[in-house]
Amino acid sequence: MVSSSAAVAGHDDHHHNPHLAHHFEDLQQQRESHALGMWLFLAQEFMFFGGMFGAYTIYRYFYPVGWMAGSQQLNVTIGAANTVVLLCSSFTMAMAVRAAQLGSKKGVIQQILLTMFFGSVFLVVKYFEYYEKFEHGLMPFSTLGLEFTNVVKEVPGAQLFFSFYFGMTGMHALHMVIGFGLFVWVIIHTLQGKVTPEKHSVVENMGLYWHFVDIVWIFLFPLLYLLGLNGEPVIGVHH
Amino acid sequence: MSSDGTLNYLNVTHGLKSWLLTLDHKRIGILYLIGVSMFFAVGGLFALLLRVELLTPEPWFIESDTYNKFFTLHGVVMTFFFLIPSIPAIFGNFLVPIMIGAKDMAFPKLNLFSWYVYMVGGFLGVGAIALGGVDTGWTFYTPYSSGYASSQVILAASAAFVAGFSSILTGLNFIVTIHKMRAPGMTWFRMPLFVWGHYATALIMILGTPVIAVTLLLLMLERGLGIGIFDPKLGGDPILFQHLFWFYSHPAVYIMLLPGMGVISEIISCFSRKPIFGYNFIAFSSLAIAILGFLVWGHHMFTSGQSVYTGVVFSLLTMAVAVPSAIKVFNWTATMFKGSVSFSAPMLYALGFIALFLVGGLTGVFLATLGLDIHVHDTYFVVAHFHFVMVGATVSAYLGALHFWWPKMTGRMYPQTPARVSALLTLFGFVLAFLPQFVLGYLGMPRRYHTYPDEFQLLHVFSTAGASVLGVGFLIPAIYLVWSLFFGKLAPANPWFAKGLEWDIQSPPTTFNFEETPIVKEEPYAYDGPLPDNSEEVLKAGENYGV
Amino acid sequence: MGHAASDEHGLHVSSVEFNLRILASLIFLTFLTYATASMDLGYFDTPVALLIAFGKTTLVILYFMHVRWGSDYVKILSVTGFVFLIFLFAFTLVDVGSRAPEQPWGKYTWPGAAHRTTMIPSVPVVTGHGEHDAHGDEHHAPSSTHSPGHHEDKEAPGSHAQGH
Repeated sequence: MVSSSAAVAGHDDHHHNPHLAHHFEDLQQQRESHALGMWLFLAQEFMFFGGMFGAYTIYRYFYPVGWMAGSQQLNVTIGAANTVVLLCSSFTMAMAVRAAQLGSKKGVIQQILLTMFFGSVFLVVKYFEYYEKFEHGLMPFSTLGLEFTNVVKEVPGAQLFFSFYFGMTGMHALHMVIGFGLFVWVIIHTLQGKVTPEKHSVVENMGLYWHFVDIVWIFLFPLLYLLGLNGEPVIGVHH
Repeated sequence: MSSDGTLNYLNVTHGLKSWLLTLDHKRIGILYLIGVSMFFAVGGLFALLLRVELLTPEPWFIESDTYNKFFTLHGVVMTFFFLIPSIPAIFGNFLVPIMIGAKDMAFPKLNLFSWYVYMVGGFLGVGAIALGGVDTGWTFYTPYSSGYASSQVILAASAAFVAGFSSILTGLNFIVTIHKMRAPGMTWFRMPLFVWGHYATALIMILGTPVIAVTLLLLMLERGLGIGIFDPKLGGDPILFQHLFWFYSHPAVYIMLLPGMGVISEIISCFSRKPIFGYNFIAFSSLAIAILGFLVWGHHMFTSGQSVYTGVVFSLLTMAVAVPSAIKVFNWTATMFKGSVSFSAPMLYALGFIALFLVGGLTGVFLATLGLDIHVHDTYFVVAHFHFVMVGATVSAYLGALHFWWPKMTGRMYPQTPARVSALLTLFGFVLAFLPQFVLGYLGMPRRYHTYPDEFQLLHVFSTAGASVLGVGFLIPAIYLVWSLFFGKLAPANPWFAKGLEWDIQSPPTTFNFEETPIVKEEPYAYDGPLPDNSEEVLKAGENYGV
Repeated sequence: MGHAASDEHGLHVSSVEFNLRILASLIFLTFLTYATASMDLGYFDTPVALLIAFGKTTLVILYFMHVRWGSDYVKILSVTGFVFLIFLFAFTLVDVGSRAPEQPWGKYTWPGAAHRTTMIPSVPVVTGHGEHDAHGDEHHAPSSTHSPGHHEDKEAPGSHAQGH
């Protein structure tokens, strides 16, 4: 593979462009690389949650009644409201990306703060939901002294349902908290003037991450909350 | 590591800080080389201790509990900290950007970050050893691992979990680099097969690794918080753990193997002085192995309680993997046919790879056969099979790569004679160590057992003898390669008269690899027959490097 | 998609109204899935819920994540995860669905086997499943939690209660 070395058009220019990293030829290559990297990262996130959804599916097959009984302990209204809140945060995130594309520094920060606001509402609601589960003895963390004492444990599989409920929503919430850390970083980045119409991969990738977190919830909502809505009450429904 | 005074990536800056904060993919490759070698030594030490202990049918110098911990640590360290990162993280990092004509990986900071993540994982693993060890086997099967083992399961699982992230980030970097950073003229079908191998590997790293991450996370949650995921007492299904575990861990075998196959394609073509035979077939068989590899994990579970129907499907699909594997072996053989073959050290390792992979691959077909597997499941037959593939093949490829690109990486030549001797020694030692294990397994010796009936002793002694020879075979390169750093002859840009962009630039390369972005105009592996044996350069090379 | 525009770098910029319209569709689908979940659709309860979830996901991926205007490779990547996940789901489900109550090498069966035979219990407190041993014919029942055929005494749709 003998190759002749020759200057490629535009090669010399990029030393003058502060937005271009040394190892890229031009801004387009750089932007496409960042987008591709983020999508690959999301593919792995997808498989990560996918493993958990797979386990969920198997156990739901094993314990249809237990799953129903467990689901009926959840508050669907709160779950639906939280879904809407998270969708709104996705919308403001899309608006932040738009602001970045149009070069509005102020718009980016405003929209990200709004996104963080909706995200916080979601997490606060989640906190109260968790607390309610704690009060009703629905936390299956035996090594922490939190025994699963609710009467629903008589139904085989209900305790497993709550293992998955906390595992999946907990992992989702953790991703949101990580997202908050990234938001702060993106805001600092924006304030430093590093986000321009030519180079805003940071905001775009942040958006992709946040939308992904939203998608996870889009699946969690029907699979955890709506499941028990239509069956007969199995046991111990107390809302 | 000074060179002849010209500036290169090694001497451009000095000091520990310049290494620990480097963004240069070549330096990061060297950092990985140091880390991986360290863990290889640790894992090898445990292997040797196990083999020595197995010299006698009864325990003689370690307790059974200790024995369990030793084989677990051998497995965890070798799998997660040596085999998986070895070729991709060292040679992939070093060579993929150069081979496609790029200045660096697409994400240099992420690249360095993944090395730190790897080292943190490694130290968690070492921490697990220091705090008492783990005795579950590297597979962490539930419910023993989640409910009963009283050892450092969480620490060891988190070590594998963290190392997984390093692997994901490395894979992500490869794919973006290969897609977006190729030099003008470097079309997909002009890429060296080494790069194709790494592309396929990276796919597995990204799509498989997160599944084991979540599996180990669930295991840690179950153990740490007492929630029931895989615990039958709470209604969980331990077989589900095996499904999720092997969904990654079987493709992980191809993470170990595919980059090695890429190495072999480079070496065979170079030392046969012929273009690789069936380039497209080799390239696509890498992708085929990567994708088929995701459909066969159930062959680890034929006796686990998995349904028989599923077993039949997995059995058939597993045999299908033999097809792309065989395509590669046939193509390498055809490349050598009527070639001008020379037996330099890298070529000896490559030939060893083919021989050992052949045995390892074919015994894999035995094990894929549902009925036979019931007989030899969890015996030394399985141990021998996967060591043929993972040690015989992958480590041969690893050492072959080390010997092939060492002049490029360090700018120094190593002495040929000890290199050839050690290549033959490892082959001999390996066969002596693991061939008897096929027999042992067939006769019914279960894996992971500390004691065994007296009639197995002779075969175990053979195996230990082979392991000792293998150990010596690994030690010799360590000595002369380190020696060569200080006293070796300076390497020319292209000591093997090989083709490929990495051989067009100086040894060692400069920080950004290329003065100017190369424009690729030739097909890959444009070897044109034997070297003219009268030229002064070639005569000198034959004397010095054994071309 | 007439509200779309591109900036000078060839990137797609969605208008505010367009983004709002997507948000409205997503919220509408959320209420739709709530409504369909409240109805008794028999076997189709979960499939319909999942279908709506996939619909919402598609909207988010295509329009919020800009895949509709992205490169071919990003389009492929955005479905790759689904494809490989199908491998995982397909084989594990085939396994648990076809595990015999008694394997040739022992009596081990999957843990839920004993409980699956009881679908919706007629008494509020479910206890004493010991007598329900795994019956082979029950294993191939679909995984719907409330297949109508099993429970003639089931009440009319909507008569369940989330809050009492």
